[in-house]
Amino acid sequence: MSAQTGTARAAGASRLRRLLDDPNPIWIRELRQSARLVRTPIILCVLSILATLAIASIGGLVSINESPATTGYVLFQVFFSLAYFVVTFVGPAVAANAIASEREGRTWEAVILTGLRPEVIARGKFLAAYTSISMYVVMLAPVGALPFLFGGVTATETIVAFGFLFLIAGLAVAFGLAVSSKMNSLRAALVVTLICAVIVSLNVYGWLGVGLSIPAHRAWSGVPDGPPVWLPTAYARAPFDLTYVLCLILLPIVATALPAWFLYEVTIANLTSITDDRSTGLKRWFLVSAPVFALCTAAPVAAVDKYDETAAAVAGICVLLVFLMISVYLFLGDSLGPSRRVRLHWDRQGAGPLRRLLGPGIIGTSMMQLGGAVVALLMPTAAGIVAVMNDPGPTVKVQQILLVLLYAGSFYLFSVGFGAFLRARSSTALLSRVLLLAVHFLVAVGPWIIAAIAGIFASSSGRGALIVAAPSPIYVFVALGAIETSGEEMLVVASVIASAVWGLLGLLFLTLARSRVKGVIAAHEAALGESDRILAEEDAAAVRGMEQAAAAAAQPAAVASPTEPVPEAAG
Amino acid sequence: MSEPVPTPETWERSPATAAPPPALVVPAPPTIRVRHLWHRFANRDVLRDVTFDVGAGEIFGFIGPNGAGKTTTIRVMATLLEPMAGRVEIDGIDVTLDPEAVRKVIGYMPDHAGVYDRITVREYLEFFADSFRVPSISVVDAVLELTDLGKLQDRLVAEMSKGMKQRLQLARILLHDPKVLILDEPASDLDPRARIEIRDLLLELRGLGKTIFLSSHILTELSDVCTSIGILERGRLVVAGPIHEISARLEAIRAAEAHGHAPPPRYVPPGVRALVPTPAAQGAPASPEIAGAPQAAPAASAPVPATDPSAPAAPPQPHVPAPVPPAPSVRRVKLRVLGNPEAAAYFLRGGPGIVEVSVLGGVVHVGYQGTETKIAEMVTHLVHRNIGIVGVEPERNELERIFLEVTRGDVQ
Repeated sequence: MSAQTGTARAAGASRLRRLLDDPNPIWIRELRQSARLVRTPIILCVLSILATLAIASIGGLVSINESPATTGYVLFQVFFSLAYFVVTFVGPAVAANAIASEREGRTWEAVILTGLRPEVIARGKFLAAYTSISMYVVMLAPVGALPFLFGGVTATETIVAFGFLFLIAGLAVAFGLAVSSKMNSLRAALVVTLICAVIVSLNVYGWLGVGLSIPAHRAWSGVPDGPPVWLPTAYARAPFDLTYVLCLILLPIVATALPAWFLYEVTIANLTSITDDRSTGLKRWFLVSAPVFALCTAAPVAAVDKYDETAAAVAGICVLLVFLMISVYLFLGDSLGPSRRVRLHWDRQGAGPLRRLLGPGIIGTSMMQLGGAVVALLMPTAAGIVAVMNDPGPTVKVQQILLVLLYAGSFYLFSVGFGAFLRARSSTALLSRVLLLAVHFLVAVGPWIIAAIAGIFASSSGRGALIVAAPSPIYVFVALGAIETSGEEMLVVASVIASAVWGLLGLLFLTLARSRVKGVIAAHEAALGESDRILAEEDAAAVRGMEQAAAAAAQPAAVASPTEPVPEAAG
Repeated sequence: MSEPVPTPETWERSPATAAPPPALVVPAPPTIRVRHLWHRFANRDVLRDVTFDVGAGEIFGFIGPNGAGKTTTIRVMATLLEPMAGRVEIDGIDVTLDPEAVRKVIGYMPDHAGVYDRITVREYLEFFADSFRVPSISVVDAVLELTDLGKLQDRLVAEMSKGMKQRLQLARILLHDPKVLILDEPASDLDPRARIEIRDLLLELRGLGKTIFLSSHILTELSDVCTSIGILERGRLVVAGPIHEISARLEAIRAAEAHGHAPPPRYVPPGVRALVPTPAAQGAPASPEIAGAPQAAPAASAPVPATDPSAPAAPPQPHVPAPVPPAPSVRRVKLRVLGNPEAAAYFLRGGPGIVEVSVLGGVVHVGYQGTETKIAEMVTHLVHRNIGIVGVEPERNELERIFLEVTRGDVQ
């Protein structure tokens, strides 16, 4: 039943029917509000006129010296580049407005108290912001048809490009919403979102647009190298084979689905109370995305030349380590253990051990991270070893891959353990994250600064003295070179020792964190138990008091009644 | 002749208490139950062992100076803030353990809440009806009628006055038919007419069986609508209970002190024992000499001597419902007269219903029992004896008097 749309939900109706009959209330309300916003149509009109003028001007200038087909392709690139920046700048800004403005306008509590679940709120806000940004794309669509006047692009390319524009708009909105869900101030949300959006969108445009167009050109000659909007062209011009399926179907799905899922879970976690279960969704995402990401890092090993296999495997492990490190910071926001409320809900719903394992609790989270990391790190490692086994002299290459794995694994173990220790000791997740970041920075850069200050780089002892930098994870690249060089065994041994020390430190911190968490939880439970006991005693005393009062009231009546003359008898 | 002021001792022997005890009625469980509530922001305790009950169908006024902890208490009750210690139950549901269930039975109107401006009144209510999963569209019409917003249903919220927006907020929290309404300063910033309208609406809602918990600074208005009050100061509940009962207790204390008796022991809610550090450990001054709380049912309220919080072995004191002796309330009026005030005092002393007469600073202070017509009688009496009256200043509102008497004016 929806009061806003005046439709009733039919029993047994399909999911789509239910969605139409009983739409998200927040979405409908925001649409109604947007419809009354006078400035939106003005902005849309101005934007469309400006885009038309820009495309027409560029088209006119280019067509002087170039063929119509080239002019059309240039216009296609210009239009979709402009549209990309409109979507990636405006989308997050619109979404940033969504939740922060409610908090600032003091309407948020009213929404929370309606009992709407965070998922419903997040979806409603997403739909509202996405509808808004979609209007921009739709308004710009006629301008996007101008390249057809010149030729050079096919309808498929244009449709695919628009499809990706909507996809990118979805990600941009989800990103803005995730930031907004954390912020209380609208201005702060806008500033943070816009800064991040500008940085991310420029990088994506540069690396995934212009940068990836070169390998795309190598893979499919029909795709020109250089133009940033190459993906629609690849869809239209690449031959349909396994590479097409992997690179143009599976990879884009993974590349959009995993970030979208992540942003959705982050938004929900931010909207959920700190004593509720904020972990399960993010842990599910990690358990799925870690192996998928590992597969993506392992895949290039099979695609590169024989000589680059080791480098590809090492690069895969390094990229995966970066992903895993980000997850360490992400999960530092977890609580020390499940709250009473969460446990009560688990008991009511009969939650199994797996669900409880995925619930709140920093130690469980650390274990899950380590388990996920083991599986993930083994994938590029195994791919690398299998690839180099057939090469001449595979021992050195295998040693190199294993050394990187050892260093990555042990440093990750240290990070997880130390992070858990910091979380167990500090009162807020932010403090833990800042401290861990400071330690990471010191460990990564510190030894090199010491080496530089000591003048080791310029000393006669040469590379041998670099041993002082062994604690830094970057040192692994020195050790990789040392494996191939005779007489530099000490550098390799130092890296192994450093790895072992990091691993042992990780285990030590994990043990300390575990005992600390156990202590804190035990003390908390004892306090709650004592509270319950006292409150129960009070209740019991009150009940006893009322019973005694009832007995006292009944006693005189019982004693008096036999002696009192019965009216009939007296008469 | 003036009657002797009843003291606790005389109450003990009074016919009211000597009469057979009333039949024990098992009290209904309180709708709102706040027990040993503590909360701290940074290093400052904003709530310290706050304990009180609100019975079903009551209008409970929550009073306190700025920074006393009223809004914190209300936010805990509304499931928006988790207490650091203690328990709060609404309709028997623990707000910490099951906030979703609590949200279904409460309607919370925060202080200075915002509204969505670019939708109409009806659209606003329809949105919340959908969010509350209200089963029928007709509920919106019913709420519009109840809150008298039907004529404004197509008006944009942005175009409404502050009073109408408050009314709209009230309509919002009625959509899901909650048992308990929690209102934080519902009449703040409203003009007199809007205040009166809100007050009337609250009385109407009480008639519909709602339990209403409201905080306000406007004591005169609270005294018009509230059946019980709680006064909070520096995070500590200094008094709670039905207004007439608190007033009677204060009179008893005043009378006891006037007769040279030691004040009665500090009253605390039944079974109160600190779950967290004692007041002394917190460095907080002891609260004024009374502190009580309504019991399971308002009619069953009675003060209970305090247990020593520092003695953990002492079992909590059970609460035995006891009848409250009817205490005649003494009101006061200041009379400014022409000529000799001592002469005026002389003529007033011993008059019917006159409890005490004194002259302070040339002003005649009269304590009397009865209604305000007694003041008119006094004035007539003095005028007939050729004593000119130049000023009559009745004492403050009863609730204001209680408030001033039990609080110290300290602000955290």
